[in-house]
Amino acid sequence: MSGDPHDGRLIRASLDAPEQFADIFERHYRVIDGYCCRRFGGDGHDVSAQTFVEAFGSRHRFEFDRADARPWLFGIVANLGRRHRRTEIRRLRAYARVDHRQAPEADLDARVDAIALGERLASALHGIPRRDRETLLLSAWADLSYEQIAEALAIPIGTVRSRLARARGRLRTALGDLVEDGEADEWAPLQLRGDEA
Amino acid sequence: MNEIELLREFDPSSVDDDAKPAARAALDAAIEGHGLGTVTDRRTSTRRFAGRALVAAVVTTVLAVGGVALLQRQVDDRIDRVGRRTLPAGVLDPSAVTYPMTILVVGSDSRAFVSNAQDAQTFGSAASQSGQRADVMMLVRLTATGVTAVSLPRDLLVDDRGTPRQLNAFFNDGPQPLIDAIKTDLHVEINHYVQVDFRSFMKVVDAVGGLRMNVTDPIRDGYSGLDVAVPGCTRFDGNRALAWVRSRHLEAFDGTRWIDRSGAGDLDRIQRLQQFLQNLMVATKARVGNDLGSTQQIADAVVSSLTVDSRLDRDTIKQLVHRFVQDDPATWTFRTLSVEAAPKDTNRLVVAGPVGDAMFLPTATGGVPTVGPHTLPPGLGDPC
Repeated sequence: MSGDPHDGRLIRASLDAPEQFADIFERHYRVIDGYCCRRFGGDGHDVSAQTFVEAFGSRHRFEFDRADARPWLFGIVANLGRRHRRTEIRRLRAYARVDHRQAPEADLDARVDAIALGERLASALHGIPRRDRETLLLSAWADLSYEQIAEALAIPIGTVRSRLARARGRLRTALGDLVEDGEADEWAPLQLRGDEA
Repeated sequence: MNEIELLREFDPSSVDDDAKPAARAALDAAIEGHGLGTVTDRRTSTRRFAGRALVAAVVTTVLAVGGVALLQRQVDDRIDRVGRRTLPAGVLDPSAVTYPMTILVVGSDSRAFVSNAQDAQTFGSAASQSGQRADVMMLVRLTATGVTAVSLPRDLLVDDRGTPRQLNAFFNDGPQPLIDAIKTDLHVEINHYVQVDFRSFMKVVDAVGGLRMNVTDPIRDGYSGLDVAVPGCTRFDGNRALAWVRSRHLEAFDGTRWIDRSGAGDLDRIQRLQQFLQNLMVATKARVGNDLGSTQQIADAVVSSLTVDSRLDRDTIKQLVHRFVQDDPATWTFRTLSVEAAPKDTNRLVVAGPVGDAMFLPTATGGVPTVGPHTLPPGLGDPC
């Protein structure tokens, strides 16, 4: 990984020299796989592995002037993820239902709170429509900006905003008293990243 | 905290294994496949298909042959790293330099690896569990045409100079007392001794990209750390596989509550281990044949998990690894020593059937079949 990694140039070069595509894998695998495992549990590894295989197969469609392939890769995850939607929902349901055994030494109150919170988050997430959930998680878990989400899902930025607002409303309602008022209006982390300014 | 901050903290999964090598291998295969594609694209579609099939067949064959040879070389390169244990003269029977050969395999749990609090809680700390613990004891008889592995339950009571003693307790002072007890009480001469460190060995599972096994209900074991919340075809990485074969307190969720599935003591676990080893053989065989990249990792994992008696030579070690990878799994028979509940202590077991060479023979010629109630629910642990 050199000083100025430019994914677009690399992917263009991989049209003639396919083995170069391995660098894209090395650059982005950890982030993509982490996200996939968080969403799809044990299936996550399969989804992330397949993401790179699919990306390789459709690399000619990448816009080569883009320096960062990450939003594009997340877009492929979103497509593949549809096939795993039922797994995802099942996992969230199971999470909300299953008795989470913790280390006995852990503070009881903290444990009960954490479990209650996790269950409510899980059940709120599976109640959110797929597209809204996709958008929400690309923001909260994949750390993509509005622009990057728009690029990943090939939707206008206004749609990103409205989906996020809806999903967030559902979350708030589901969490109810667990969410503190006041600071909820600042959604600070969603700003443009430096490298895109 | 607002809802987004809470969501950012929330991680409902507990996937912590490394699947990167497997993912990279999948991509590499796609990249190589692309190369083949461009060559054959020029042909007509029928010929292209035939051409591809031919190329695929040739490539697969070359890789399968080359893969095993490569594994041999990788093992050979690392063989000096295999642990050695010198046993006093007379403990092992030196007669078998060739087949049939009987090896005592002990899956040890030396607990030397218990270094963090979580491990200590799961496995017991080195301080609270003095000495080594033999969690798995297997007598493996190799012949030129097949392998019979007979599991010895750890709760088996045998005679220790007039007093009944649990078999795995003999291992507290190392392999020699255990070998002596097996010779005296089960009438089996042992030619070689192989100790396998569980934790290192399970890296083989990661090297082959994990195993897929069927889980029929949500299962857990707070002692071994096993936790599968969603039933179905489940991927077992090294950690999960370790918790699976170690579990002695298995519980299953029947829809409303957790019920005890640990079955008849150690016998249930032995069955899961035997089934697991068969699944692993199949997966390893496939991987060594088709993925040169993980062959090195397999060799690493196997070699670093082994401690063998000092008389087990290089070629024999290589041969053992070779047979695990290359033998048709159908020629390996796994069974359990014939046992029954001890009269005075139903949590312990005593020998019920014939011992000695009979335990390795096919059932038809006086051998003893796998004995003990079948405690695995149908389908649990099947490859999928």
